Amino acid sequence: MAELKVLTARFGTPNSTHIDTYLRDGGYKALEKALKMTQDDVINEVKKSALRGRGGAGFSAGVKWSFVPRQLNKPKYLVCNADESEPGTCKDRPLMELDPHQLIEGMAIGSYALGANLSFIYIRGEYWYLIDILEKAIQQAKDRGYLGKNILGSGFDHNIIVHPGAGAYICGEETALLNSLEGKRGHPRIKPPFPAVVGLYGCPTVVNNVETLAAVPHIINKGADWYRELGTEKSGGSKMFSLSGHVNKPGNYEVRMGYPLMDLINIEGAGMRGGKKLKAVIVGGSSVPIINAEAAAKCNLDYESCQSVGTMLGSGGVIVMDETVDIFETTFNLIRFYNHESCGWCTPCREGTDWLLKIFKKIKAGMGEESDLDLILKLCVNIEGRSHCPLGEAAVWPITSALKHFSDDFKKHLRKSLPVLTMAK
Amino acid sequence: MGDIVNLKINGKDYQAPKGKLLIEVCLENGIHVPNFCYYPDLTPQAACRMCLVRIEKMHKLATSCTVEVGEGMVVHTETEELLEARKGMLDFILGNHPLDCPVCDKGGQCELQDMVFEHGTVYAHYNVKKQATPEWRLSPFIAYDPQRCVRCYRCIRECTEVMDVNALGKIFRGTHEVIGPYGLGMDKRGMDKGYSLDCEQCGNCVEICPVGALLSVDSRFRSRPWDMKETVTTCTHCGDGCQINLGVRGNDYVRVASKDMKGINGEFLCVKGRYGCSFISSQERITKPMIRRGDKFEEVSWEEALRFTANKLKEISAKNKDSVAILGSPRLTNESSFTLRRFAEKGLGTSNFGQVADSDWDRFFANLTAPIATHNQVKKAKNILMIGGDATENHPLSAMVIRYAVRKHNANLMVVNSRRTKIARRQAKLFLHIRPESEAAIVAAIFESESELARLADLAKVKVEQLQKLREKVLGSEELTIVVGPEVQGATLEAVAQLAGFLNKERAVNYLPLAKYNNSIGSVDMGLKPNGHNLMKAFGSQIQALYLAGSNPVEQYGKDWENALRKLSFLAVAELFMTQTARLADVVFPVNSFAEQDGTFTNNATQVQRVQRALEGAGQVRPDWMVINALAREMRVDIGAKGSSVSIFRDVTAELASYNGITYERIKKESAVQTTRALAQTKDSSIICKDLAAECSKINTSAELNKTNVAQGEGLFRIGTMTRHSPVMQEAFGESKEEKAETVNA
Repeated sequence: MAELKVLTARFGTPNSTHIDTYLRDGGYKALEKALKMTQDDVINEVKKSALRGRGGAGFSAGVKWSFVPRQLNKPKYLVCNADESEPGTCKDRPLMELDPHQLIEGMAIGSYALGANLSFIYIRGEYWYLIDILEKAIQQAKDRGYLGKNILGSGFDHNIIVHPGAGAYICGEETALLNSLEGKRGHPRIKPPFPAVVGLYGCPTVVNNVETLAAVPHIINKGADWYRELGTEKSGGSKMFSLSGHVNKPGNYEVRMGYPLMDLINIEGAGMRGGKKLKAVIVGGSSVPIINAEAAAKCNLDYESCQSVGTMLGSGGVIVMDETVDIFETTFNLIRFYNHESCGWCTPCREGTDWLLKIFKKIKAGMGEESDLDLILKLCVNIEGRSHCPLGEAAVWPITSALKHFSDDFKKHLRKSLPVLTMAK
Repeated sequence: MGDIVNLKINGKDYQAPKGKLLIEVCLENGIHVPNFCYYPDLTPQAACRMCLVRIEKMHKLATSCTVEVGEGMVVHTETEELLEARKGMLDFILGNHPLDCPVCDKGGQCELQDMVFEHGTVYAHYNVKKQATPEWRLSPFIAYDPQRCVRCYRCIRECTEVMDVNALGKIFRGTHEVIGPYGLGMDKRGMDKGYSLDCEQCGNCVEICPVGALLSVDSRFRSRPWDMKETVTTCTHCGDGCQINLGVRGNDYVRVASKDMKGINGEFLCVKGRYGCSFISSQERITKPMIRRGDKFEEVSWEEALRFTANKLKEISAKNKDSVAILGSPRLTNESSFTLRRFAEKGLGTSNFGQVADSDWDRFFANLTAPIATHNQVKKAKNILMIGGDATENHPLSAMVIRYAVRKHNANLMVVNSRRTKIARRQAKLFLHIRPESEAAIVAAIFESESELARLADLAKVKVEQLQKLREKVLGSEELTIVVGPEVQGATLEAVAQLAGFLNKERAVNYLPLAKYNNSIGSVDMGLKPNGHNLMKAFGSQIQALYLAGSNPVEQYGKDWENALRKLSFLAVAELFMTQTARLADVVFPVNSFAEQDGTFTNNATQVQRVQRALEGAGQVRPDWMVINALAREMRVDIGAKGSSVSIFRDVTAELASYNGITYERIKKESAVQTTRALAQTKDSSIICKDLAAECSKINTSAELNKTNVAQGEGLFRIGTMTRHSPVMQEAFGESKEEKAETVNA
């Protein structure tokens, strides 16, 4: 099946970041249209489109917007989560690099729907080169009257501020992001209250992923039904997947929701590298459970199907591993990552990831015992569902799933038997 | 109150106000939920994950410290699953915990130990290497051992929310996360860069720490908690009268704590209360009576010193009774002050007696038209008018309760001050920054008609609109707490005391006077008027002999006093230390410190609190009242002497109406018993206006505003007669060795 082009349609266009080419391609028409609709209509349209949060959680974007108490006499904010730091995921980068106006238009529409006059793009610090592109685009949009005061004569004011993060994975969690944006330490907040009610500076705030917001202009332009029909009943539209690992053609691909995983590997990715056998796939970025080849064969790229094979769609970072891969090593790599990125707020995540890492190091050093694997599982039980934010779970799922599907890879690192001291002859 | 909801906990039905935290409902109903990071009055954290409970219809375990109770909630706190979860959490916490309980000061008093005994597994699963992080001395007072830390962040919240100091924060992340000061230069490991905690050094973070991570430097490694005798007594450093737990081992001071105290201050203490009491065990205390022989003092027996003094006093008094003066101090116990006055009146028959202090609290109480607020009442105040006084620096508990009122229910705080105090800068909703010593103009603005505002605003150098707003708020508020500082004196203070009557009796108005010393108010009640400065003018002329107890006016008020004292033909001083004043004396009596005697203090909320003997006085020290009794006996005069503090206090309650019905037993039961004050008649406002006009005319209208902020520690860190002898205070804030030698040996 041919690649679907919705979000990525303009990636090939020369000078695609400039507002002239964007306008030539029909840009900002959706904003014009949206400004003529009521706020409720915009929200309902997005709700109807079955657009789900592309950051990982997959929560309906329209429903999230509808939680905002618009009548409340407080400023409202829209925050674009561009702190893309999930290992294996790099889909937001090209969306901002090659088509920034698509995002800006989406944010303008979203802000209009929420009644927000100021919105932020919280971008990961390592994307410093994108800040320039985004700020240029914002300036162009301001010059043409798509941002600023009284947009297109509608009386709606809107501005966007680009704010770089300082390099913490946890700041991708929406409440930690808000804390960071406020200049505080990036700790997740206690929920409830949810950001939709008490968010940035204590005001109603919606945090959406780059890809979610970039899809909004298309929904407004072509209608919710058109968008929904691209995908499945419950997961509307198309989604970008960052295909990496042992395939012949790794890269960012946009496919419809519900697209078979094997097709993504075999058609878009042009098959396994060197014709090797598929061993395992991480479907949605490193935080989701890893699946084996058998499950991968049954997996379609939508939220429900992923769940049915014991994993999640997540942020769409598809990591493909062939038979040469030692799953213990990849899991070790991940736990090192989560240990490093644990913010330290809550006991299970802070101490648990540290303990897990130490056990992995012990196993890696050849000192592991069978009981260590049991201990790992026991620790995972103590972390899962008991941590303050999903980072604890994100650290645990890859480990429990790897131990479930690939326990042999772990066992071969264990110490065979206790070393016996013998007298030198 | 809000709605009441019904909920089920462990199968039993409970009722609770809607929106209350589940953990609070559990704890109040005797259902034990283990916790570290939950703490009353601090914001919830959900960090330690010990308080997990199972709430039906929630798919995950919930932290009871963040969940608000709702109608029909079904909660389980004791299921197998939860016990396992708690064990798991303890395993995690113990993971990197050094388990050095045998050398940890907290051992025996540690919440983690208790928790492990209650929930933990005996077998430690942690089979890998523990993190090792070096200890960090955060300040001369506070040491931090990151390994023991359970990261409950109580200290940070205490520092930020209760103290409004914001000195502590989190550094690094994950398992490397430590508690530390904000914004300091760190070495490569982020550790150990000398003293770096820029704060009030109150040590409340130490108090609130559940484990031995934050510890007081001065008491570290000195004693195990169960190895010292702890006595509840009243702090002697300011008028607030915090209750302290004085820990003594053998006969030596170990530490001051306030843990789990039910006193007026709860767990709150300030730097002086916590670290400034070690002077009691100072080696520099005077332990024997001394008589001046030429330039030197000679240690003598009590008999000799008393006989010598009695003879001198008799000799001088024989010519003219009023030529002998008695001066007490706002630091002495009620019992000693009372005995001093009796000695003056009955024993010597002199009319020249009083105390060395610069305040007019006697005039305040003579004009009082509304009751005095306790600190707990101030916590609930809706409108607070604060005239003068720097509570943060000089009355830390009062400052805390005012901050509490603002923090918890957004009290409308109005501050009138000539200095930019911290409360004025940080908590005040309205701050009138006035010209020095122009409080009278502001008070007058409330009494006077509106047409006078412009003139009065000009006098105090504030904007008319601001003064207008203050006037409106004061005249318009249904409830008002008036906090009045020690610099407000004379007719202005009388007018402030009359304000409640002027405002109309229907309204709930109360007062909190910020009296400077631990017994400023008590000593005035006992009849020692603050007239020392007037009497001082007669030294060498009408007054020839002086018995001075517990005061060091030479250091406090300078040269004038020294010159005056030198003119006397006889000076007897009862003191703890060889102060500059004591050095001028003919005879010096060594007396007990507050920690070595029984008695009572009356704090600035007019509450009577106990002073209890925590340790034996060194050498031959005696309480002040006992010295007076002995002196009276030696002079063969009958002052109705009583042989114990409890019987003296019985005399006090019999004589003073406001102390009626207060007994030691009752204080023991209630911790603090407020005296009841007779309210004065409300004067006609024209009389008050006239008095105020006279005060206003004294305002120096050429004086400029003092625009500098009150520096942190201006009052708190000031070294005085007693704190000078506390080693840790001396180390942190003291004079250099040479300076100290100068003041002590000059």
